[in-house]
Amino acid sequence: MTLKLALRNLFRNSRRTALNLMIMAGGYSAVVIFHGFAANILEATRWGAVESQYGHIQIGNQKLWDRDSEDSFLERQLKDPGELKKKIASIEGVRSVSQRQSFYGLVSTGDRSVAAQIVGYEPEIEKEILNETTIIEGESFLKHTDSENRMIAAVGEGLAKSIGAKPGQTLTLIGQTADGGINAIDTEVISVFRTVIQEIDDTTVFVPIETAQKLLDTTTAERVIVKLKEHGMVDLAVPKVRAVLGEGERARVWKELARLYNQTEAFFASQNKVVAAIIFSLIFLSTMSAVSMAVAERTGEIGTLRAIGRRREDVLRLFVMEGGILGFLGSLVGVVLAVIAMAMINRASIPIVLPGASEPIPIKILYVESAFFTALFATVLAAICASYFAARRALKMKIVDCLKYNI
Amino acid sequence: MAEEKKGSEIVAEVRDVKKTYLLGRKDVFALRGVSLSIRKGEVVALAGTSGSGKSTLLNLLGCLDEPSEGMVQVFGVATAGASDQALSQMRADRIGFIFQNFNLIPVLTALENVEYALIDRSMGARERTESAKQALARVGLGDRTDHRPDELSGGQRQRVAIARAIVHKPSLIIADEPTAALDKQTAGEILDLLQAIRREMDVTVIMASHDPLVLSKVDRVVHLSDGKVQDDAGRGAK
Ligand SMILES: Nc1ncnc2c1ncn2[C@@H]1O[C@H](COP(=O)(O)OP(=O)(O)OP(=O)(O)O)[C@@H](O)[C@H]1O
Ligand SMILES: [Mg+2]
Repeated sequence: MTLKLALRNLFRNSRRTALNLMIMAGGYSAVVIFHGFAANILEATRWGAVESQYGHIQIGNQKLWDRDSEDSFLERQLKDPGELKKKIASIEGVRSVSQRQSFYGLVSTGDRSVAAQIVGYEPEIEKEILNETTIIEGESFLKHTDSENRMIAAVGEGLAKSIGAKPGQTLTLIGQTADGGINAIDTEVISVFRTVIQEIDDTTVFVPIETAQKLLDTTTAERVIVKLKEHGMVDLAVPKVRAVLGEGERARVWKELARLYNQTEAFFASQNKVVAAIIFSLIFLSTMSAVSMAVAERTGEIGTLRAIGRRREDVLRLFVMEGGILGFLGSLVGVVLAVIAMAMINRASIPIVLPGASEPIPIKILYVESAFFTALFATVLAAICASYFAARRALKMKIVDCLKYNI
Repeated sequence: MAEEKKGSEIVAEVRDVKKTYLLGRKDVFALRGVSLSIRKGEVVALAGTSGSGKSTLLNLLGCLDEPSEGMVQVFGVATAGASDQALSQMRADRIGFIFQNFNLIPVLTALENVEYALIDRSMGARERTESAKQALARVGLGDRTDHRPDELSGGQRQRVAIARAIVHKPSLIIADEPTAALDKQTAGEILDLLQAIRREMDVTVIMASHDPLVLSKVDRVVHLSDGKVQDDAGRGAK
């Protein structure tokens, strides 16, 4: 009966109810869309971090992670990466295992030399690092399968510009060998690349691992990169990987290493909170004003209900119920609004440049299911609290004073 | 004090009651020392000019308000200092209210308005609807159950209000100017209805009114003047 009364009262002033519903729905969808927007950027950042930078799990020598300047180059290396790779490859869920060797060196075209991050990796295994979308000039490492003697390099766009490197040119790499000597080898530039992270494009030269090992005069590897079939498998795979590690070898998870991702995540977490706080305050205030108006108009009704024996809390419950229903309906309209708006935004593919990125990507809003439910809960809660406060004030009035108002 | 109906039990009692309202910074003396006993089965009218304190006294008797000074007892319970819970319970169980402007809930139908007075009762929905229908039939509105208040005439609305006031079989009916918003003929019908109900249900009725028609149809008229009882007369005395 109270529910019936609450519903009828909502529809009685349909204009005000509709207005309040629209405010709630707008707020609701804004929160959900914001969440979806952030989630997409986070996911893209995560994908980039895992696929083209860190892998899901990295194994390195304990001394590599310690970064103690006392330790020599060789002390930081994995002595037998081939054996380690074999052991890890048989673990369930592992998609690929490869080794990398990265170090600072000088790169020179003859006229100009600059310091660069030289990254040796296994192009046949980590195909996603340089592919059709990242290579903007030249060709893939995979075209050069003559494994033993391939002295080839791919240069980041910004770096290539600064030293004037082009495909077909010779690039001299200079580095320190494992036992401390200086070594130089000539490579052929076969491509110029552009990743999603500008810093990489400005500083990095990719080479096949053999090239790097030759320059450093070693057969060791700096780290082994493990990529999994699915992102969700990380927690399961980590202990299994740890179980096969030899002495001095230590595994780290991508999230411990991916600074940009962690910063982005923290940024969006706080931004989502701020947006939600603003919007739910708005919903709170708008409901409060609507319920206050309803309470003022229905003072005579409140007096009558009280006179015929309803207690204060019964009447309060009525108004809170009206607020709750309003919040629920507002959220439902909000779901519809959000889904439509998301579809429109996703279809419009509006370009956006992310911080640290070199190229714009289209805005995409993800459907974050949990955000839909959390926003529903928060909307209803905000509406209920607002009605509670609006109605509570009115219920402090004496019955006889309420009864002076006409219904 | 009139005490003609000796022996019958006292429904409500008022002793040396004063009521002051604070209006801005000024005290308004609405009742200045009123004493009165209402006996079971009486139909009493509180009469007096506008501002004489009729509504104030009626509200005290209906447990809607508490006296500033003195004692008000309804069904043997002192209302001063009683909890909202207890007074609400008393109103819900034992008192029926009729208002000058009917005070029906606009979004509910006639039947629902009447049913609403039974909301606290531990009875099934069926039983509740049945009781409400009976009450509406009793006031002659058995065929208007599904109408909203704005689809009814003034007299019909007041009948719905009476049905709401009697559906829970109260011992006391409080009516503030129940006929003031009605034309003379309708007012007469409503008064006759109240009298008939009083006889059937053995209920006590207290009304506030300055309508001579009302005063002529009640057992007892209590005249108030400037917050005091000026005259308290039994049947036919006025
Ligand atoms: N809430 C209030 N605040 C201040 N003064 C009040 C209040 N209610 C009543 N009064 C005053 O108390 C006095 C008695 O009022 P009451 O309503 O009891 O009169 P009444 O006899 O019912 O009059 P009427 O015939 O006009 O209804 C009046 O002077 C009125 O102004
Ligand atoms: Mg009055």
